[in-house]
Amino acid sequence: MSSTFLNKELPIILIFVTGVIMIVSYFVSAPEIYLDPLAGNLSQAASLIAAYATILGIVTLAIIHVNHIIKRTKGQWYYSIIVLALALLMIVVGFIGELGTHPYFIWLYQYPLIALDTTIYSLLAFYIVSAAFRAFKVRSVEALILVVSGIFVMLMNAPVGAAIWSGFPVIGNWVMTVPNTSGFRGFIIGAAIGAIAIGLRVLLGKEKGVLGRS
Amino acid sequence: MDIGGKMQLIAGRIFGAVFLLISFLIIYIYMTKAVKGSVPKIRKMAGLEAIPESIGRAAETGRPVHYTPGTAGFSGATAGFAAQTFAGLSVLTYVSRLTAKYKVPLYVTLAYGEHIPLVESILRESYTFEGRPEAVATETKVLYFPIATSNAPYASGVLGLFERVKPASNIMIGPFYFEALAIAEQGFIEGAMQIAGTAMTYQIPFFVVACDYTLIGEEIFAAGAVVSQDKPLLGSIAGQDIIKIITILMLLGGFILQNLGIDFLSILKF
Amino acid sequence: MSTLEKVEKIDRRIVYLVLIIVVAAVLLRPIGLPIPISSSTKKYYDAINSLPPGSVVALGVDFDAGALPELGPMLEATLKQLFASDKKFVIFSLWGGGPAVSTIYLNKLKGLIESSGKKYGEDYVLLPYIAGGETAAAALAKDFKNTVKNDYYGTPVDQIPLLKNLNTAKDFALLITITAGTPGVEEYLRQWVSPFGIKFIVGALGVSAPNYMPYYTSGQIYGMIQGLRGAAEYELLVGSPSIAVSSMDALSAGHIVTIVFILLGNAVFLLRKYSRKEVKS
Repeated sequence: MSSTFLNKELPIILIFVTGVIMIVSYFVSAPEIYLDPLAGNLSQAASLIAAYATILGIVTLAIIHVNHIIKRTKGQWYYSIIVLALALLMIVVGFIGELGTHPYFIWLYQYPLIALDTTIYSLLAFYIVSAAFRAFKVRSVEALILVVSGIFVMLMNAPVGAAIWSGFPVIGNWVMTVPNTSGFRGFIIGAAIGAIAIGLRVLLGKEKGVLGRS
Repeated sequence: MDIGGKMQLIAGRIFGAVFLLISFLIIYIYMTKAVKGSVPKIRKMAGLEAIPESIGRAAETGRPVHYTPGTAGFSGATAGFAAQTFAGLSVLTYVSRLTAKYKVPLYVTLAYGEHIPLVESILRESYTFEGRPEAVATETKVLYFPIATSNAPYASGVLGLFERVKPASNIMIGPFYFEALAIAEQGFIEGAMQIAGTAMTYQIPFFVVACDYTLIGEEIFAAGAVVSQDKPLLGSIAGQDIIKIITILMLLGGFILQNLGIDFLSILKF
Repeated sequence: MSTLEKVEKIDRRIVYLVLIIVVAAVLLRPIGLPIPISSSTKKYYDAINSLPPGSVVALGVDFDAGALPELGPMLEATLKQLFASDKKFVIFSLWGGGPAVSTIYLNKLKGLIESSGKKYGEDYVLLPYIAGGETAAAALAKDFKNTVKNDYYGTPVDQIPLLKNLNTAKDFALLITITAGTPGVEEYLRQWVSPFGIKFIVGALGVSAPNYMPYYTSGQIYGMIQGLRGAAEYELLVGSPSIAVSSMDALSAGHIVTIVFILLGNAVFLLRKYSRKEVKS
């Protein structure tokens, strides 16, 4: 088999056939001709493939950091040792007993990992305040509407709003359920139509990124 | 609904099936028209127009450009956002040609290892196109900050990078999560000119507030199509616009019919 | 530089310091503001309560460590409500960290579980992480038992009594997802709610909740807990005020600081604009 067939035509055929089966199975029920069980099996196969793709991330990480250590990359190689050592620790502890259930694994997840993750996440609180101070300037009518509605929604969200005036939650709720919902509905419809277009391009093999950029 | 033999159309999904087939047909027609030469015109996008300006600014100040195609992978849970990543990679082609032309250092940060070969290939092609293939090794750097249990490792990696290299231009096109605001705000602190684009609805407001230019929602796909001049993609964007018009007419028609007492919803639920 | 200019260009570290001081002060000396209950949280609570005895609930724990401060209290309160009820439930996750997060809260509620009399395998089950995002959600909805071979602790699913009759999404009375993003609400809507018509309630981050309002207002999502404020409301409904309730005063303080800075920024901006106009004229 030529390399073009393996790299281009065969993947397109596979994508098209599996894609059509999954789309048709959503609208048509045909258990007697094995359509429904086939669609179910394909879904499970996709889950399995995705699970194996996780391993790819770990392998890539290991290759990059081992390269840094071997080349003694300035300002980096000692951090690479730490990264690999901690990754190895989590993997080894995770394999003790049933996968990922050992108390040591849960401890490592709950204390260092969660603390570090939430620390980075909590930076957003500070960034939001400084961004709001800097950017929420009433330069136009639209900006004024943005600032006023934002304040009403914030005061709806915080108990202090209802304590100051009972109207804040009412107006804030209206902003959320009427203009906000209308705007997001437009986005959702646009995104859904975009997904249909992407789906068709992938099925027909016209989506460049799927098969590589050559 | 029996459609013959051993197959039955599932009740409640028939209208959806018809709408999907019509949508496919419209998009296919416009894609084919574009391939045959009738390429639709995409309106100007301020964010896209500003990219050369931001890279020129980086060249003047002697500071680097930072680019990221987003924080979603091609498989698993984030596979649904792959199209945004591809749009980001298309714009990277354009950005890297400009950085090659103006001899500006380029940092590309990635959250998924599977993007590395693609990005390296894009950089090689762009720099070769500009006649400077040897500059890929000296003027570009691809940095991988892997996603773990959350995007925090990627966010902290990029924040640290910004503190060290102080980019003059920060371009972020693709799917983003909570790190969007953190990176954009840090970029502002470093004095970078920032152009961002995402179709992740709850990150768009953060980009609008923190960046100089924002490509909102589907504009990133249009931007990707414009810079790559991918005819099927340009054609499908026009097809999508036609489907949006049909949807708007359905919304208006449905609103009128419902208020006249005609149960339009039952057609949609057919 | 004039005073107005100095205020407009204030060092951001002063802004951060004010926020830290105000929030820390309120955490150390809580005010105890009342917390009105919103209708979306009440509907979330009622959706579980209104189920017939013995109903099986599907609980998707779809978040990782980063979202734990906001979604953890929702999960804890949901587990408390489920353990105190006569319903059964299956916990699964489309996110890698979901089972670990679930284990943390199940360990935390050990005492409650023992006093509830609920037995693992008969009244509740914890399944492992299922990779694949939307395809995983679709696989679970179409063929629940065969999508996972073992539970989180390695027991084969055919040896678990609760899972015996759970074949598709139709066999569940309610779907709950407590989610930090994708995969989450939209995936379940497409693969569970639309095809199978299952009742669906959501616990969402404050930043994501506006995104889901179209689905809530159209009825596709029956009830929704919105952010930490919603978590506090839910803790009060469940009768177990905890970390979310105690964070509310800090939330209020943080919001007030943000609003004050927005108003200050605008006041300075407008004053400078008008003073420049006066100078020109």
